[in-house]
Amino acid sequence: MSEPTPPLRAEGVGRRYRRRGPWALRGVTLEFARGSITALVGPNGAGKSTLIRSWMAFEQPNEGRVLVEGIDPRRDRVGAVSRIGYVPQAAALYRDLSVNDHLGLAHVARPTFDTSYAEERLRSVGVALDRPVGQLSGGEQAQVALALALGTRSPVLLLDEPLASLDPLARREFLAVLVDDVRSTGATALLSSHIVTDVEQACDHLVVLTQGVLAYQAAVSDARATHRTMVVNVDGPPVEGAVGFFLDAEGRRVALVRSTDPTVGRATLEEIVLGYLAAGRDAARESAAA
Amino acid sequence: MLTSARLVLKHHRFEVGAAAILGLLAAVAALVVSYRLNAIGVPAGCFEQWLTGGGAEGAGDCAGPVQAFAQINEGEAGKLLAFMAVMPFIVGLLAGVSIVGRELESRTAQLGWALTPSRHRWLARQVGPILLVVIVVVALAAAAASVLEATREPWYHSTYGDLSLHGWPVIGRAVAAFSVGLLVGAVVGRSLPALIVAAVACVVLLLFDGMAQDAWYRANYEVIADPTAVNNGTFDGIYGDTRWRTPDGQSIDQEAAFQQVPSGVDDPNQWLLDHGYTAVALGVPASKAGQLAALDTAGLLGVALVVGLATVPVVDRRRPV
Repeated sequence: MSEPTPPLRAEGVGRRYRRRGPWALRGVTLEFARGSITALVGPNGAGKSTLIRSWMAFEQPNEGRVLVEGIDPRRDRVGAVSRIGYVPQAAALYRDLSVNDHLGLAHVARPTFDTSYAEERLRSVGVALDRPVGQLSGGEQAQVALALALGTRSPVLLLDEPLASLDPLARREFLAVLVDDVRSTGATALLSSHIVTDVEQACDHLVVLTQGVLAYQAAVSDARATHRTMVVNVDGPPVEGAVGFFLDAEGRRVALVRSTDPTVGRATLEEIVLGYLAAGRDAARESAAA
Repeated sequence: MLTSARLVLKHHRFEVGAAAILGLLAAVAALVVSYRLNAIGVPAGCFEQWLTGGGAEGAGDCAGPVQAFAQINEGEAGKLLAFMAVMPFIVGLLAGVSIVGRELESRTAQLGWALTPSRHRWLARQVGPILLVVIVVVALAAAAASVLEATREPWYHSTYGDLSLHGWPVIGRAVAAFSVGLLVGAVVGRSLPALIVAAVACVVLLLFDGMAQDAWYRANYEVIADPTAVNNGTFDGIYGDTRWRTPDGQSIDQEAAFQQVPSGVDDPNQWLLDHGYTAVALGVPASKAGQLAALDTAGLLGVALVVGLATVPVVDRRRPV
């Protein structure tokens, strides 16, 4: 029996914007399980948006390829993009059109767009459908962008830093709607953010990108089970299994370690991400120094 | 389809509205000025007297109405037709630049291209209703300007000097400007810089159009049967050139003819006539103006089609930023 086609896949993806410029992404190979919600985490400039935009056919990888349900957007953009519900960075909506106009636009663009489902989602979070989008709060605009993506009833949802400009309550509401939809429809969602605590509650998988390179990928439960943290001295002995070092809130040097030792405290998801980001940063510094 | 058109027009209502107001104002103004010229009621014979009498002041009993006619003709009508030279470009550029340029600038292209996986279809949905509005509005203004043109110079069938300021060529200019704006907007991705670049491109297009018209004139010169009509202003067409036929039947231009005249002669024209040379006036009769107008319009629409089609691959490959 053949392997089921993953909803999203990246195969050795590399992208740079100038011929001899730095790589925004390099050698990224990933795939996502159907029905999962994955947090794509990394600092600004890590390549998160570039990767997501590659699946949307907004970017053309210089190396490798991306696949949406087995379809390469470079070869069949219509086929690939029609399988994606997309929430762009900073809710790019038509400010002078009403929410209803947006739903109408979506229905014209995709005849299969489920207007009543999108309306229901928006009503449930109290967004007035007859108001111009420019008069809505940031949180409401994000809800409109999410409803437009969910209304496509696509098997794949790509959300490019949708939480960045939202207040904590709006973030909660946004994630609640997303999780509810994904659990009920079985869609696969990829949610990028540069702050892991934003998405921790909603995601079951974690991908860490740093300096355009894939630093870590695992189920959240596995990540938590296999990482520990310990406070270390700068001039202390080398730490076995150390991934990276970072400073905690009290200014102490902390090592993220790959370990299942039950006697050592488990790392939080934020610490795991910090450890991998620090490792990526240190590697880049060493490389630059060399 | 109607929903799509309504939403596209609603989204671009400022650009489309401004373009529509501009075009409709030009149309109404042309009809009003035309009405005012007609209302003077200049008797038909007065126009001939005006032309042969050397101006409105020499029109004898006709002086009053002819002067009033000339005042409006050279004032409001002249200014309005001068406005018709730029109006189609303003309307076309305003409407064309914003279609892709503003979507890229305001980042809404991401949403549009995510919801409509086929960018060709997206582009067609955007262009269709806006182009239709442009054509309708400019056609109204162009038709009104034709009425004005016929009113202000009733003694001509059509003057070549104003050929591009009324009728079909105006529509050709507006559609060409629209396409140029569309392409430049897609390439530049920002409205104001795109508007400036597209305006410069339209000036270049106009220069080429002028060169093409000149070439057409040269290819269509005919001998003007009554050369005096050129001097007294009653030739119905455009004067092109004066050549001289030598006593042995050769055709030479003015400069070559004057080189035959000995130095010190006061009146070289008279000397040439006295020595067996014949002046031949060349021009294109008014009856061919329709042909030039049709060719001019077809050429501009051809440019619009090519430029419009060139926008498709640009939008296809464009990165929404």
